[in-house]
Amino acid sequence: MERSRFLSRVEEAVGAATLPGLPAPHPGDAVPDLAEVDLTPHFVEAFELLDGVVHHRPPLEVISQVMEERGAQEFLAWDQEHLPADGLLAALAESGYRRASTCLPSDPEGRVAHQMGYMHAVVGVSAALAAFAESGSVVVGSGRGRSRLASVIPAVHVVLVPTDRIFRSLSHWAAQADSPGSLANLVFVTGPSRTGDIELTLTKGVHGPGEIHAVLL
Amino acid sequence: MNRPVTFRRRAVGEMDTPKPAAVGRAARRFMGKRQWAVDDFTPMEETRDRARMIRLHTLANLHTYLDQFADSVERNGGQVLWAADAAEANRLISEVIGRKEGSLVIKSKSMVTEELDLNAHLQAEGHTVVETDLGEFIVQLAEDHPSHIIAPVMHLTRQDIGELFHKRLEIPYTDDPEELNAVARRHLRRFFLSADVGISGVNTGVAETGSIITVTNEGNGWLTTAAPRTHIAVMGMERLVPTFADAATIVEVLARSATGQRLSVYTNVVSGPRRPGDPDGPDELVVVIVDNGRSRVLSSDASEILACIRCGACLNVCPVFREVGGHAYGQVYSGPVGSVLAPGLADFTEAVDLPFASSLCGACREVCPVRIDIPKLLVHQRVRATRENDPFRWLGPGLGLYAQAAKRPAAWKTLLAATRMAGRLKGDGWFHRLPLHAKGWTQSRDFPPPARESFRQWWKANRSGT
Ligand code: SF4
Repeated sequence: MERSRFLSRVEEAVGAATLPGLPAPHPGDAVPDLAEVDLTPHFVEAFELLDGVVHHRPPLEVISQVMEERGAQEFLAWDQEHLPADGLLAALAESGYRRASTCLPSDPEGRVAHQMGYMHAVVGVSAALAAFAESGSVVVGSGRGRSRLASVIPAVHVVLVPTDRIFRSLSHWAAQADSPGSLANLVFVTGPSRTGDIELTLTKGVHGPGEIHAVLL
Repeated sequence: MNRPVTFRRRAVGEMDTPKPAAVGRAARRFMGKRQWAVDDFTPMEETRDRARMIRLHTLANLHTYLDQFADSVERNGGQVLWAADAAEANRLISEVIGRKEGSLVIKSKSMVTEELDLNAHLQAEGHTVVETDLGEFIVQLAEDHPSHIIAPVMHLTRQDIGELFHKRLEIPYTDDPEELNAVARRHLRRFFLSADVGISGVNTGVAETGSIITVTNEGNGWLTTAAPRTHIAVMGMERLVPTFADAATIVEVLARSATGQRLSVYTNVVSGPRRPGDPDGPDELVVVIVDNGRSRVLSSDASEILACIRCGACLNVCPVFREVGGHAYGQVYSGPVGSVLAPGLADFTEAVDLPFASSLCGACREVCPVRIDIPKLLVHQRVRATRENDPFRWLGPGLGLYAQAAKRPAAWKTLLAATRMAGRLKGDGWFHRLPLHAKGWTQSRDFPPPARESFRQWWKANRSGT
């Protein structure tokens, strides 16, 4: 259907609508102005409540340990310039770990072949653009040098979280974020992948990572 | 007297299976979880009020926000298509897929595509369609239909699922949820990584930014929108909010209300196809905006139901839903919300008995995160159903018979004596089927046994002469 015809049908329906409280004003954008508190402990508590693992050690140590535990040689990661830990990728390379390329070929077959190479990816490393104390969420966003699949495909997600990027809640972050639609993809990740579909029994890692580590910086 | 008895038939059928126990158990566990998350940083009651105002405001200006939304999607590099009904939506989606010469389609859970019966349509065109939400995947393997908005296989036990995986995926039988989970992960992974097209629903669109938001706990929503070259988002036209901050409020309320989480595990915001320089993500984003009866609902007595954010909470608290499960409703949307929405979407040509499948206890209104007055809307739908399709035609003649008998003392006494006698003859005294015009009553309820003696007899024996 033409856009204009579709919209005029909707407009007509809106005219006949029986909504309560018309003219139904917008509530405005205010979020409660709350006292300044140190949000880091709140974030840690919420993140751990979800079975996330919090680290206060250097990222190199944490990633090496995870790789070793899983017997992995290769990992997916964002480009160094987007990781708030100088020299991390070089140090991992020095330790003998290989970073798989996250840049997809542009032809369809090449793309699928490349993606199929992620089939058994074990560890992915990315960074939080922001984090929410209330829910224990981290925000990962797409962009140059920032692969989406690096955060969602591997069995273990290691995310670097600068503590000065912790906000009270999603609403508090959204109230101050300028142009949140400027990145093609933003994901608020809240704990490991989970499902309750089988008799509501909680199981982890059904499609996304079953294990998530936050390295606080 | 062709009263549609579909809900009743299906409900009785469902209650004869072990499903209600599974559904009731599951629904109650959902409620327990809900309580856990109610006290938090975010002031829940105020946030609910805000969410309600946002949704009502959007509906009252829907054409304006849809217009703005479409502009924003296009500005981000996406394409918007408009579908008046299911047939048109399916045709548009086919065209997008066809032009890609791709035939492997992965889907993340979407009620609106259930409404369109999209899978059957695409399969008939020779495409392979794989549902990726674990519950929906199980539903697809079982060639069944989802029974709950949030938990589509609430009606199956782990043993059922174990049997199903054993038969269909040819793995050794197990009913351990962890193992079943791992099997599904392995099985679905290659579909994610090699699919040509990903189809998602839309929990909320954002007019200001042209973003579409999907929420999942498993990560399939994110994978579906991140890995394939083409992403098609199918959106019911009312699923919109004005600003990004509004969307934040909605997803916060949604997660708490649906499963008792502070946020769902993956709240996925897509604002256009991959940008120049992005290492991955879809090359193409197409948003299909679907009316399919919604403008009819909007212009009816039941407009308010379109404020629904599909959290499923009203299903979990509904005593009728807990007894009969989602399938008894015979519609994509079940429970209290479905009983209002389904007949409206279908222009009262079907599902007209659903508004009657409620005791109007009000639990749904209490729990609804956007405070929709569902009982009131159910009554509106009952009035309309009765006016247009009179499912209670039996009541008129039935009451007529009563009036005839009541006016003639002799006839009345005979009738009462006969029913008392009949009542004594039957085991429990309850009437499961009444004759003639009275049979409508017992189509949806049993008739209580008559008292052993009539009031007149009792009066004669105990009070006369005093
Ligand atoms: S009607 Fe209210 S409670 Fe029911 S699914 Fe919709 S938002 Fe949730």
